[in-house]
Amino acid sequence: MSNISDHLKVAAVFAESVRRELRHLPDDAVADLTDGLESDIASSLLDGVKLADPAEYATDLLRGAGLSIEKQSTGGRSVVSENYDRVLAVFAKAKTFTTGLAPAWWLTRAWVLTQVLGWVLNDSDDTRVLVGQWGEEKILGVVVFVAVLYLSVVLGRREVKKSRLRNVITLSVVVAGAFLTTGQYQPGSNQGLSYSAARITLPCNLVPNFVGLSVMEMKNMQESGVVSYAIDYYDKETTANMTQTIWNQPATDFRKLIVVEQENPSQMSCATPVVLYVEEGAVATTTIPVPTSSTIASQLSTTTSSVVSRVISTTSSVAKQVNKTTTSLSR
Amino acid sequence: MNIPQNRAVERSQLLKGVLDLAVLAVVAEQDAYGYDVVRKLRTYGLNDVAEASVYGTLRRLFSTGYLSSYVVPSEEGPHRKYYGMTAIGREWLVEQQSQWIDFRNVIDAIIKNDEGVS
Repeated sequence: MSNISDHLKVAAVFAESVRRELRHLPDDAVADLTDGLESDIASSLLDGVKLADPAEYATDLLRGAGLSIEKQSTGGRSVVSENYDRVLAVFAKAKTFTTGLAPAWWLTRAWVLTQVLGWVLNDSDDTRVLVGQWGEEKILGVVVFVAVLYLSVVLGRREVKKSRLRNVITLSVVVAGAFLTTGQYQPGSNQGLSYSAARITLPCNLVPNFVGLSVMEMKNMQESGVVSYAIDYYDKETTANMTQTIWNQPATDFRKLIVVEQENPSQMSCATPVVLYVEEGAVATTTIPVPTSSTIASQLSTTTSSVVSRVISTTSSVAKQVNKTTTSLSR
Repeated sequence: MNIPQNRAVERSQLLKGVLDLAVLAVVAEQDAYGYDVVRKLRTYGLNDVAEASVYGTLRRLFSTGYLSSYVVPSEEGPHRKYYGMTAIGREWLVEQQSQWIDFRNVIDAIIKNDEGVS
């Protein structure tokens, strides 16, 4: 770590970790307590000061500010929201596991279909249903298997492509959901101050599948704070680290750079980077915009009823776009 | 808990009572941002002051009206939040300085067994 931008990057990640430790407080209180924190942390890093534990740091911050260090679930972040995060984290883990099994499934179904075809076409007497149904015609059996396997893989990859689209929808719904469940706070629990509105941040232990999104969309989400954890970008072809380049240039420069592969660390935390491999593509696999905090905040008013109705309307308009795109993909 | 740790805890307890005064005195010299205040306190010898405690203290002093704040944009990265004294803050600082000197004299007299000082 030698230059200011490196320090700023570390400071941004650390400040976000501190904010996570303060999430039992209303969003406005957290924003007030941590305003300007990145530049202070970056300055201390420049002086060679080692960063403390974010939890300890947050406690010192609260003590200094004369606020209670007791974490109360009745603050800005609701119990529903906490449980929502946990359920989504389990869902994300299960999804990663099943996605990894996809090629095995493609192979298995090709083998079973080949054997079933052999049983039907050869009128075999062999009672072993899943082996030897091609009898003497082993070569033909191999040819049929290769053909069926090819079709199975093509079909499987098409399903993956569609699931990328679903990932975008999931991400949109997660962000909208996060907005819905973090933006409500009943005033009165903190020195008589009242807070409103929301800052949307995906929890560090919840990493959606970003494959298929453009780097421009990724950068927008990082800059607006929707994605708080560190992300390292690598060129898929040359494996060159592109993080610094992407960090230093405007998001619009990376409209055609698409995330094609994702590696999540085994132990996810705000400070552990998610690795994304990117590749120059003609266009993103989808053009559906992912809502960011700023776009949602500008679109939605602060009253709960209005928030609910507008999120529903945003979600349904996204769903309409998805239906259109899915239909055109199917064709 | 060993002796050095004990000393650190005792020192932090002592500091807790006077951190507001120290922070205000530093800002009274010149407007400063959070880490700037930490750096100056350390220059005076308060090496073990926790950064985050100072930042929290600054926020609290701002909330109570003793400090004002303004933002200075930075070309290199995020903005800096500077703090300056308000009129009411200066009044409070003078009052606190006077109280501290009286208090210090009393404690000095006690630990030196000198009854006639104060």
